[in-house]
Amino acid sequence: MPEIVRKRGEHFGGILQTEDPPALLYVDREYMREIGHADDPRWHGADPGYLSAPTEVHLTVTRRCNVACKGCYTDSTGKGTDLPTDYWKDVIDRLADMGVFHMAMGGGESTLRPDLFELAAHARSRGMVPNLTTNGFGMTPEMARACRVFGQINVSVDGIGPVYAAVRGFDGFGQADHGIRLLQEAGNNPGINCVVARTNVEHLRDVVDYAEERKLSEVEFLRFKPTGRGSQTYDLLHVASERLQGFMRDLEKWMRKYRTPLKIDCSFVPFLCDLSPSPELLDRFGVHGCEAGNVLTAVQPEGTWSSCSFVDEPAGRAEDMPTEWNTSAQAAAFRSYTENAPEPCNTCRYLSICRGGCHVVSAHVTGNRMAPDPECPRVRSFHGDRR
Amino acid sequence: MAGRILKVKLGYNPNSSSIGSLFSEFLWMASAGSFLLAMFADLRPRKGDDGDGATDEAATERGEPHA
Repeated sequence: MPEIVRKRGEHFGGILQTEDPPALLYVDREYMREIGHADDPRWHGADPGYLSAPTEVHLTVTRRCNVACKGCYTDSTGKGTDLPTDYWKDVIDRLADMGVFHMAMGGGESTLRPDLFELAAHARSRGMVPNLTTNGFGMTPEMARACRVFGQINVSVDGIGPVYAAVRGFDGFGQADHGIRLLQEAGNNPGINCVVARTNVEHLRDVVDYAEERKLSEVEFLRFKPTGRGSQTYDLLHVASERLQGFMRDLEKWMRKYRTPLKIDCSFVPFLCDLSPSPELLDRFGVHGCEAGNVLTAVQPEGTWSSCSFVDEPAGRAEDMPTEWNTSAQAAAFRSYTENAPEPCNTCRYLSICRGGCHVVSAHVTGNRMAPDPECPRVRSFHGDRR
Repeated sequence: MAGRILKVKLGYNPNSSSIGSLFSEFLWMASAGSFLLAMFADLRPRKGDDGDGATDEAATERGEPHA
């Protein structure tokens, strides 16, 4: 039976964190009262239009990496130094004090940090759930056992066999698969992150087949982003809009055929909306496009924070995020997109869901971060650009 | 019980670069809202319970330990 393990008040009522199943529930004030939360300072005064804190924060705990993917969005290399353990623990403490529920730890390759499990345990001790993205390389039975501290672990697998090498630029499928097996043997229930690129888009079903055969917990498909080394390889590796529309139709078929849960990242939401699902149901299940600077923020390995992992410019020092939450100009720009949206977003029935698609793609392709996602089917149609 | 669940975000997000959403038949099902209510119907205390036992950020500010 679900049990509330943590909660915080919001202007509309509050957010409850449950385990078994893991979920975040947004509830109204009356519901909060019914679970014993009689009053909350946030229930008084005007609606700020954004949350009192992010629900999840993405921590790039290192920019060091043991591989060199040609599309790496953080431009990670084998070099560099990491900020010390105590610094990250202080940041985690501040996030806990803000009321953050979940953390996603990544890199670079986060398992290169010898204190990774110590940081994850610290997050647990402060009531947050740490989650992990890893390439699986160098996984040992001991590390796999230590990974049980995480709520969910996803291993990056962009293709099976040679397709992996075609996307990433090196043959790493065997090591990723070995890492997955060790994680499973240690009692974890890992999933897969799969970046959709031109080099693997015709082979994605093989990834789902692999996940099904290995009884993995999920496959999350991510749109290729033009940041880090991805900004230089974007023209070469990103998938054309029409093909992504076809991929969404493939997913629609696969979700009925496979037991493995299939997920898409927020940047795919314009393409999901192109299938005309109910906006009410999308909202009800928390399926939204850009939630940068509101539902999520990111902390970089240099000790800065930004509205999203893909936003290069820092909004401020990570330790100052709590005090800058209500004043950050960068976060305010993302939060206010729906109020200031240009055509064709401002007449789209999915505006409050999609929020303009991926603004990192907008920035790269159009030069204007707050332009509508130029690869959205509706935006392309508006511009007469359905080539 | 008049309180309402407004939104449910299922699962954890292990992806450290963006937020994932389940690509599910729920998104096309008219009965999905009822399903959610049924899944989380027992969160509220029954008569005689003292409360939910959840921790909150106020407890953190007071230096109290989390569950």
